[in-house]
Amino acid sequence: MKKITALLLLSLLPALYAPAAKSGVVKVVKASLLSRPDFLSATMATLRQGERVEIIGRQNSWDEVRTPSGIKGFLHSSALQESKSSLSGLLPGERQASDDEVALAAKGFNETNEKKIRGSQGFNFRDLDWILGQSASLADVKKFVSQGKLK
Amino acid sequence: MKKRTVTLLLTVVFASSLLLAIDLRRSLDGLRKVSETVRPISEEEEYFIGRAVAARILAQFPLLKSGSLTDYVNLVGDSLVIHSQRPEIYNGYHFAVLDSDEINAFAAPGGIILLTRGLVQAAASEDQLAAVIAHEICHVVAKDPLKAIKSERMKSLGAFTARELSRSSPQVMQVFNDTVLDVSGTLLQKGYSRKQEKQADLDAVELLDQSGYSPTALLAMLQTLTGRELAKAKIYSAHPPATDRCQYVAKEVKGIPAAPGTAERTARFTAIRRANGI
Repeated sequence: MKKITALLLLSLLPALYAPAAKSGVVKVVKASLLSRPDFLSATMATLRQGERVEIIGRQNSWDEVRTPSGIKGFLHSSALQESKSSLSGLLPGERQASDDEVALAAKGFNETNEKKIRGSQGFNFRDLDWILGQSASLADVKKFVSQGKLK
Repeated sequence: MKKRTVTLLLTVVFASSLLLAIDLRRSLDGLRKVSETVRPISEEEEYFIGRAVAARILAQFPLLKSGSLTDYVNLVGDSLVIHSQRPEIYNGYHFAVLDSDEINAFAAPGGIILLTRGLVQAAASEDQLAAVIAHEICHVVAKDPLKAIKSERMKSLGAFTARELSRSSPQVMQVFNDTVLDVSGTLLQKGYSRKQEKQADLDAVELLDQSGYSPTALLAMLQTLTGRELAKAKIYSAHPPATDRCQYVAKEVKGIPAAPGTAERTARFTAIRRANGI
């Protein structure tokens, strides 16, 4: 009986290194979760930076993912930081998502830097703010593509 | 007795493996900390460098604050972006027009792309305008603006403590300012290498084709600029000679038919220019 228990424990060893279900974290401010691997397909949800998803498949540069609330769809891989989580993350002293933190961190250049130079001569952040408020929605892009006979 | 020995042996093996796993993990964490000092710039850092670079350009060139024209260049740009290899970028791509006669375009890190009114005027069609925008997007995709940053900046950044970084100490700010100067100096004066420019041209041809624009529009735009006031076209002063560009782009687009819908696109391009007095 004890031998069986020991063997069972041993059989668990590979699982410490074996990858569990793949997951990823959104690394951009917002990303569209789409019904197909195509930006012109229907938007299922908008995901925010730091949101975690389960990766259930891959098609070229697209990841098929499932959100914690169960919504399935496609995210372009440029929006996602893949996590390399496994059971080893449960080992003592381990912290989950350290890879994500590294990928997302604005270690040296961040908003605090910008606040210090805002208003300085040689920088015009006021017009930059205007520009950033003028973006087009995906719905507008779809219409524009269709009207211009683009792909 | 034999059973006990086997059980004991297996327990020892299991415990050792567990300890080894913990130890390996810790070693890897140690290595990770070392590698952080030279790790690439994160998406968010790229964005904040790009904001500062764009703010510098905007301090030198007035912005053309036309909602309709800005919406239009954003729509042309996004129609290309969705087919690029890096469609999702930290805070999305943004396009705008500078109120300058100069024929020029700038791609700041993080996807802030600025075109001049002179460039919009020089383009004969939406496809030609898209050709220049595609070229700039390809610089962002290849992270060419970030390659202008001298390696010593990132090394210095790695030497700062977490406290210095979080508080943006004067030393950190010096590195930040130098980094912004490295990039804006390349965009405004020095220019990219000929190799980077050629690659952006070739990638632009592919991007135009994938998006449904005519790749031949890049060649047409180059020929237009070669035949016009080239001195005014600062965008090309630091690029490979226009004749060289025409040659390799002509070779690349040979045999690619014109994309359908050119007439519809040219009509809306003409209308938006007229509405903005361009």
